[in-house]
Amino acid sequence: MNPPPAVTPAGAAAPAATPDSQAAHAARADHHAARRARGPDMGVRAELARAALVAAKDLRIEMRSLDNVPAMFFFALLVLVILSFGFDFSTAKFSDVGAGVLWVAFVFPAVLSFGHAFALERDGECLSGLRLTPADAGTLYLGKLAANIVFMLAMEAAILPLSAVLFGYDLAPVLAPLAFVIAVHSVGFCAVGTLFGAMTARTRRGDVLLPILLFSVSVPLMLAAVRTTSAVLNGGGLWDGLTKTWLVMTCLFDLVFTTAAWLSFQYLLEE
Amino acid sequence: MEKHFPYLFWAYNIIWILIAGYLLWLGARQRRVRRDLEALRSSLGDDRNPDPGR
Amino acid sequence: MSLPGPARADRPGWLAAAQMLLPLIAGGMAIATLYGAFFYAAREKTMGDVQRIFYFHAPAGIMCFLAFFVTFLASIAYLRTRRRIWDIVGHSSVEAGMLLTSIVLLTGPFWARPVWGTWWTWEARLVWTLVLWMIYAGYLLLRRYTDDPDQQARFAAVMGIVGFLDVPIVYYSVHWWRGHHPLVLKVSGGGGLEPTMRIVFLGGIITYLFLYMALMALRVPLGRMEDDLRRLEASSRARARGRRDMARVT
Repeated sequence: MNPPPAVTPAGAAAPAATPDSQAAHAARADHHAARRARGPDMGVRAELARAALVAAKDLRIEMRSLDNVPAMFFFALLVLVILSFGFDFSTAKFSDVGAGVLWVAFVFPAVLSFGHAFALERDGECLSGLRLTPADAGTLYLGKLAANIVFMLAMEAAILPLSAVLFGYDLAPVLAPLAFVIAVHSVGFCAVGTLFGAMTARTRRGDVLLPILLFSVSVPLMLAAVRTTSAVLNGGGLWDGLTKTWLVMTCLFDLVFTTAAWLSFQYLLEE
Repeated sequence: MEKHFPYLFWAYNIIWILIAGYLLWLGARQRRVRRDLEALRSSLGDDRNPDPGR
Repeated sequence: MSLPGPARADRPGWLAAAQMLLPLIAGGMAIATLYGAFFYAAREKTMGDVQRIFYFHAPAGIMCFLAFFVTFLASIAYLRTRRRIWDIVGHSSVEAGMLLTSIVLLTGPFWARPVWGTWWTWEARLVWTLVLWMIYAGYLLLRRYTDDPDQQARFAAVMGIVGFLDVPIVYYSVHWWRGHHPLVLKVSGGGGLEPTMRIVFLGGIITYLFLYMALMALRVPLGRMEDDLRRLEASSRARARGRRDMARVT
């Protein structure tokens, strides 16, 4: 059903799948020793290359099956349509309420995508296969994160011009700052979403738990996203007073949570 | 007295109610655990096989 | 640790003492603060007596922050040492913290309604408390919905860390969002609390501090008992299964 992971295990010892944490510790030590024995496979470049491989695997699966991004696109479109029923856009200006509408349309499909990213692995027992690879848990996280970012940006790139048509606002003059704002906030959202997506893939009612956890923690990001998008839609620049403050906070958020998730991902993958 | 007394009254009561509620719930859990532990202990005691918990 | 006997007997002495003393001190401080709130602290000029809710409302907000910080530390400790006690401490502290946060969220509207004319307002401090509540409600839900106990502990630890890292960011973002919010706490005169008010406020903080410690002294041993029970049940089930399999073979 799912194609096997593109990264082949390179002879590393499979970590023992017992619940005994001592055995798991020993297995991990074996794993690391085997990695060291193989020689200079370490280093940041090698890890990043492995992350890229993980990401490429997910992207390739998506390109063959077209499971994820089209569904995200249509869901986002639906959200735009439904929200346009809620607000009277004949009288309301898009630049006033548009930021909120856009972000709701971006964020809800993204949540589905995060759940999908790890459901994929669970179905084919691919997670065990991935754990057999020399890749670090953190590397796996980065790979998944990269793929999620690509999916989310792809959906947003399709929706944005469509929203300009539907809501009749002029996209061209604000495109560059808008694209930047959307991208930088999407990265943060994906960072948290990939972490929680991995967690909730293994819980009951994970599909409901994911948005609960994700939206609570992402509140600052959402506030920043809506505020900066609104400012940009109204013709403001990226370096204007408060917008700059928001963007600095977003970059901080992105950094802190990507790092935290990268460091803690190993604790999520243990058997 | 104070025209906003009802608000004051209920605000303080909420605090007691929440704390008391939580303590009662803890008490119920404790009773349940002790009961289950006793039951388990007696059934395991039949085997003469004490199990070190840690 | 051997089979737990009748629970009271194998509590260490200091714990038994703590379980009696801490609630008593908390209760005593509560009464003292209550007295102070109504009879000692000055009457607020603009809001009147309704403002006296403040002495049990604001300190709860400060204490809940402490509770979640304890969870943050306990979560890190658990991931590094994998000792069950840290997981239990983290869980217990979230429960206590949620109780305190709920107190803040529920008493606030009773203060807001007479003073501002509305039960709720999207004012920075209230929103921050609400988001805090939601994050840690998520923590408790995550625990409830994760079946494997080891996984539960690990996931909860990650959530405890990530959630707390979020707290300052939420604080600042919500305050920037709202611009300059009306100073809710500074009441009399130009700004800052009047001395009598400050003393009672301090009393409120000490009350909640002892309440938190009392709750932990009660909740953590309970957590250990439940953990022992679960472990015993698992091993007794395993033993029963072993006997069944043996019976089938022989």
